[in-house]
Amino acid sequence: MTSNNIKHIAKVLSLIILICYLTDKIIFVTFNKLSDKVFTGQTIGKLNQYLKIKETKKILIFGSSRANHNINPQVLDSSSFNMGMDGRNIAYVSTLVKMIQNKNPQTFLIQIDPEQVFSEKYKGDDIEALGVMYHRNKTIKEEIDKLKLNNPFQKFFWCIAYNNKIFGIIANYLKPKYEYKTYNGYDPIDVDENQKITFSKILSQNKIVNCQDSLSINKTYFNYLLELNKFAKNGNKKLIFFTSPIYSDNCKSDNQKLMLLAKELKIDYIDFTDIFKRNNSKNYWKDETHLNRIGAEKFTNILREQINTKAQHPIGNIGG
Amino acid sequence: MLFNSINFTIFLPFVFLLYWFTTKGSLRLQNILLLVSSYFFYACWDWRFLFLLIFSTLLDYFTGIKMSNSKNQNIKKIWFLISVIINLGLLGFFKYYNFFIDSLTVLLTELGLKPNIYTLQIILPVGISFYTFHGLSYVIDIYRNRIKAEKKFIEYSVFVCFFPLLVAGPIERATHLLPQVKSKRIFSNKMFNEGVLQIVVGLFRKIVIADSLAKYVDMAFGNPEIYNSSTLILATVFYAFQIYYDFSGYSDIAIGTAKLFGFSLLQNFRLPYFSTSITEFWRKWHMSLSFWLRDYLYIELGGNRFGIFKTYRNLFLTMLLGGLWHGSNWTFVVWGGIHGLFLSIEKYLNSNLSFKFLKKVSFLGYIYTFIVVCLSWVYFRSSDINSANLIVSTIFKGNFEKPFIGDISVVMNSVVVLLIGFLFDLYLRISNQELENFGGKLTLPKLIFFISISLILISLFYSNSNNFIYFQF
Repeated sequence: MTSNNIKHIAKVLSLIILICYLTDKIIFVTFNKLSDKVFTGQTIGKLNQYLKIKETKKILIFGSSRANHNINPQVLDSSSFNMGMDGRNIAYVSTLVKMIQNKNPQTFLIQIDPEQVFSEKYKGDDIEALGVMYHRNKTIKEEIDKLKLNNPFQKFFWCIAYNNKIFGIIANYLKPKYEYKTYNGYDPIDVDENQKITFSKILSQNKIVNCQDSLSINKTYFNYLLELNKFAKNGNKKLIFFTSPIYSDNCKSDNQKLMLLAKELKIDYIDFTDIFKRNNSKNYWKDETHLNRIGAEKFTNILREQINTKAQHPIGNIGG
Repeated sequence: MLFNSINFTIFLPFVFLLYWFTTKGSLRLQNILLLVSSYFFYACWDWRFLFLLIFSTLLDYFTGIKMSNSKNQNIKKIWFLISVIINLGLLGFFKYYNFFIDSLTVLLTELGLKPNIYTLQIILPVGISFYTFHGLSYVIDIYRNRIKAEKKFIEYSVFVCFFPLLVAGPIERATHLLPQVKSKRIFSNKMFNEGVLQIVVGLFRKIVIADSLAKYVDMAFGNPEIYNSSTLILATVFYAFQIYYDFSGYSDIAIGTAKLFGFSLLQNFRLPYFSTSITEFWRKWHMSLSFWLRDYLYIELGGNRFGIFKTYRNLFLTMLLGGLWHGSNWTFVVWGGIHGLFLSIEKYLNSNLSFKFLKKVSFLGYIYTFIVVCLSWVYFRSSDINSANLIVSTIFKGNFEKPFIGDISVVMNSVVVLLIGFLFDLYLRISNQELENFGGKLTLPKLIFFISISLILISLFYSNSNNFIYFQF
């Protein structure tokens, strides 16, 4: 290799790095400005709305789509917001909760799945959905770094924050999906005839269910439960964990073990998995784990009653 | 070690620097470094199978020398057969043992017997199909007196184990690669430009296009019974592009990487979906395999030298075995069978004067080829024959209601990145250029701009990476 070759390599690589760096920052800043004005959609809008209202609501509901589609916060309290989102889990929820800085009394309802609490695989990957704010929010950066789930290239390519999100942001910027000021975070599912047929087909399949016998709690999950508990105590918050209904749950050992764990940790936990078992109907469901609008309304009313019992004071007051 | 992993982004520059800056141009040192790096690259996946790789290398090296030294044709043949039987035996054991046992069990059960045959938990060594074919082509070429055996073990080992092509090709020929291993490599700016650009394009094709499309494809092929015709057609078309960009992306990274070390590997893809016939498709798709099958299987079987019936038989057999090469599942055999069938039909039509008019409507050929290829991909992608049949029958039922979209952003991203990839391919075709030397033709500012924009697009649209599809073969 001659000195000419070395110069060529150095020139090509340094120019690529320089142009990438500049272009990346331009795109990053542009999308920051754009995304700050977006308050609809799950890409970033709902998160932006949450950051705006998180300290003002009495009740906040967290969790996955099984929180998002299954609970109508309006039934619980007029000052409530459902922050459930598809694919979210305890790492995401915990980070959202930790962003609340006031000491006002608030109630947090957190949906958890026993299967995931005892899953060996869970590493907190759901927190990556908050990567969009990695370079802009200290809490988010700390939490992502803590789990070592940050993309190492994100130190250089800041626009990785917007990976696979730009169309969602642009679409919601140009045409907001709904009026966010009246939106309470609940996305009910209305089932059409095709979906009913699909659900029936799925139910008719003979599925082999392998239930795990030896269950040990996922360490990441456990740490988050402890952290949330501690945060709630110090921040004057009431935490209630719950599990959303399932059409037909064949594995019970994880539910039982989670119940024991909750007692041990002294956390409030309500298991609604089999709440529809006695008077179940396909008309309540979109699929095996998600209720449709009818089922969700029914479930939210049951949840309301149960929380009243648990909290030992009327629902309107549980937030303090 | 995967090409799209963090480890590789450290490994590649490290080996590159050592290769050009510490060996002082010594060919022997460069080859030793390449061999050690290649073993390390392979051992990162599973060090235990490194011994299998070394054994396979030793076998062909040793039998090659024995064949070359034999003056008696019978002895030469014995060494040749030893090599072929052991090579195919290893491949058969690791790749097909359970497949044949399962198939035999099903057959015996159908016949009313109660077989009690044991299957084994066998891990398929990554790249075994590729390095076995490297070795086989080498011994066949020696047996046919096309080349002489390589006496230097290091140089022969580099030919078999060179890390860019070790696990998923392109399948190189000794006649093409060995002379490069034996001659002094000179770094050229042009090759560097070509290599870097091809690596970046390969990455884009793999982690942006193929991995984005995979989400929708996995959803539809995972539960084919619940989707309508439109959904399954969309998923099949997506899969056609997923597998193309996945494997051509891998090949691009392999070829680009080799260029950084002064090697020119065989081209593996040449815009295969711009083909007007299945025959043309196979001249552009996984070229290193299709030419290997042509030269070492089709022609060895007799090719078209023994009459029309045997020609069709050879063609069909070659494609069936080519299908089976991809994996131990009947779905791959059907896939090969479909291609074999259409290749035979085309051969018949081309040889029959009354069908000459077909060439005049060649524009329809693009559509015909794409439809046949997509149909065959259904079998290639499905987990079993029943699922594939179900998908094909659902598609032909013609329930063309709105396809299931699911997460709209997933589909939107997939379509946009696919469009980018397709337009780039179209540009290459219209401007009559090959990606392999595209980077060398661009001016420096254009090259830098192209690579920078590609990297930004990768960071904006990359998807969580799946393994390269061809790793399982």
